[in-house]
Amino acid sequence: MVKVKIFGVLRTTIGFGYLELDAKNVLDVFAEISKTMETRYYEEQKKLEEMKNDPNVKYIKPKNPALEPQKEITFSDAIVYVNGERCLKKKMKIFEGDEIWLLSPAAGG
Amino acid sequence: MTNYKGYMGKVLFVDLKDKTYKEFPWTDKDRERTVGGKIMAADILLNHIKPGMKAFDEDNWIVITTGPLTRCKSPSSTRFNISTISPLTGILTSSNCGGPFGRRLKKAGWDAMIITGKADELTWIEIDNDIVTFHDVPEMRGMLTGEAQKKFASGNGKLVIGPAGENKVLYAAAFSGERAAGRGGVGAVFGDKNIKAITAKGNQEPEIYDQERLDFLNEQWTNQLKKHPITGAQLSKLGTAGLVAPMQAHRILATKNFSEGRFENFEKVSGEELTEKYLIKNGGCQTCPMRCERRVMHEGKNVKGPELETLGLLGPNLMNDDLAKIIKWNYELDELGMDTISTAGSIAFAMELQEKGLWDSGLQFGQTDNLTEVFEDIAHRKGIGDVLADGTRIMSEKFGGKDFAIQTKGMELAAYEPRGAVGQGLGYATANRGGCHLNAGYMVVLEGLGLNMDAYTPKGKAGLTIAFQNVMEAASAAGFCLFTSYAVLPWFLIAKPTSITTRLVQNVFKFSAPVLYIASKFPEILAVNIPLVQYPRVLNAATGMKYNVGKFLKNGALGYNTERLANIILGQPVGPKADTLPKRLTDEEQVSGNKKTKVPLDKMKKSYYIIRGWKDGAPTMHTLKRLGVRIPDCIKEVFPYGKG
Repeated sequence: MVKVKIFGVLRTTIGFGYLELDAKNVLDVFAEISKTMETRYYEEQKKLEEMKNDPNVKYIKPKNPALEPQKEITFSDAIVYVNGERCLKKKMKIFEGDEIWLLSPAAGG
Repeated sequence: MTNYKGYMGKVLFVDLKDKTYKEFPWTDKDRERTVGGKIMAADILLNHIKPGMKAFDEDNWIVITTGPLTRCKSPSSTRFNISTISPLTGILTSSNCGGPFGRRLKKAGWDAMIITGKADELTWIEIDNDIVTFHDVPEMRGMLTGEAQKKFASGNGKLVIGPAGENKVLYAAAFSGERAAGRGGVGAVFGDKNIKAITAKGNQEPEIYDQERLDFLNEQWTNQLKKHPITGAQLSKLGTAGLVAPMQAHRILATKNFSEGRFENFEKVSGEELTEKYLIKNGGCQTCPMRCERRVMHEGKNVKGPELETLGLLGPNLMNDDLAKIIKWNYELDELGMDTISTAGSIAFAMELQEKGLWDSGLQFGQTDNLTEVFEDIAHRKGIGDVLADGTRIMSEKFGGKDFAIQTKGMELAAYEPRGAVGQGLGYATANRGGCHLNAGYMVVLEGLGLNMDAYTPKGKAGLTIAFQNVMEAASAAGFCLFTSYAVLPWFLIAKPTSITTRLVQNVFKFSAPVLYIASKFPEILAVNIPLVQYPRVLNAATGMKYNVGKFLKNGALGYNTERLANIILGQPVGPKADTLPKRLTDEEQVSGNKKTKVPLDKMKKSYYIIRGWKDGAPTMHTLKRLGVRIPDCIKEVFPYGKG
């Protein structure tokens, strides 16, 4: 298992920030996240639909405006770190216990 | 009066000593030359200051300026600027603020105001169109910034100080709404002049040169900002707080008084944590599509949340991982009227002094339960607070520890640890107002955060630093938020960091020095207007001026050189002592055994001075004349221009 931590706009788009999964390289990580993301997206939609149709639910808490999980993602803007070092080769092998950080480009002040 | 549109055509001059006011002469030639904002303020101050003048002298002027775009509904263009001699650095400071005061000052019919003299009693300056009234307000002494602003009717633009300003804490800020003109101690100069508040209201609007064209460009630019991964996504979704995690990754998150670039518990004080646990909604300046402000709850109140600098410097830099505390402290510091960056920097330095046995203040890394009391003591100059209120440089002169006093030119550094982004180190060293990340040129956006240029190489950094410093200077002069400058980097480079195009551009940047040198010497070759750089296009449509990219960059260079010359008149050293960094950042490796992880400042500075047309940190007469800097007579009294 590798640990994956997701930050930045990627996290708001993916909808979660942490995952443990089996992967041989970064591309596997992307694929696994995409799968989980799609499953969670449809589960969330289903839950929301049920709540809307449930006469006992009087109030649905509005979503955090910054968090808008989507059902799919390209990872074209992902900046990848493996064990604290920048990884530019997505096919680079990763190993049991590795920690992967996925980040988005950022600036500010 | 002015023939240019966009401006109100008048500058207010207020003398507190005899409570009089008049119009200050400012011609269309001056407007063409400086545009407005901080460059206008620097030009006014350069031609007023004299060698030896100090921040708390009666004739130190406070210059508050708007830009020609203020009230023209262009995106992110409602900022205003306060410039004066800084009590913290002894040289010019310019502090930019997103609060409503600038908009209202302009609505009252004034592009700018200058304040001189000192009042005998705590004073409120009321501007109502052309009428200025001076009120004694002794009953407002000690009022917090929020409470003070509530005293005035809504519809006024308000600018106030808190107790820190009244007590001349050297890094006291002025506040408009919840927004600070934070850096350099402008609030202390207000306090010294006995100004508690300025309000402005009126019913005037600037005329627009070509409304149809301006509407078109405003829409185009808004779309450009919204489409960009930084201005359209990161800043609106996570705010500046979203930088904590990338800074951790790139080893530039200032930790334990800049002794490290990573913090083990960074996730606890990250933008993600702030967004997921505390964010109520986004906020932002009027006309800004970015909406980067974080609204959070604090003790039942909806308040402005901490920005990146506050998170970084009150978090990792103090070895504190409690985000709730930072939200509380951010609110408290705003209410007391203090710059969070310099406050936190001074406290971190005190903690290291304690650790090294140089000053027994009782402050220790990671032990932060008593900081609310410490802030109160600083604001009221009590006990250790009286020492901390003078900032890091003066503390290091008193107790030692200059090598790890994290300041340049007397101003505490922002939260970016430059040993992980050496171009940012050059920027910090050369920035005219001192340790400011934005006045530095914000090279971190190229060195890992946005693009992935080699963060440790000095190659190409000097020219790029200058280019970014000039762009930001000129953008600020027009009234724009500096964050808009990130959208000058094409979105597809940022959105696809590993693409062939992006990698190619990053490599080309390393060898850009000759091109940038030529562009800085002959900006006329860039006499074009392109959609990617919207500033001159918008400026022209609003005012009727004839700006282009080259002229715009030249204006930025004019501003930078004007400020630099003013600083030299005020005593900033030239030669080896010019533009330095604390030794921790230039001589100590951030990662032990890795020689690349320190700032090769001397090497970069040499190229920087050549490209700028400076010698030993001072602009040559040739450079000053080429850029059109209005040179005051008093430079004959100042080395290297006069006295040898």
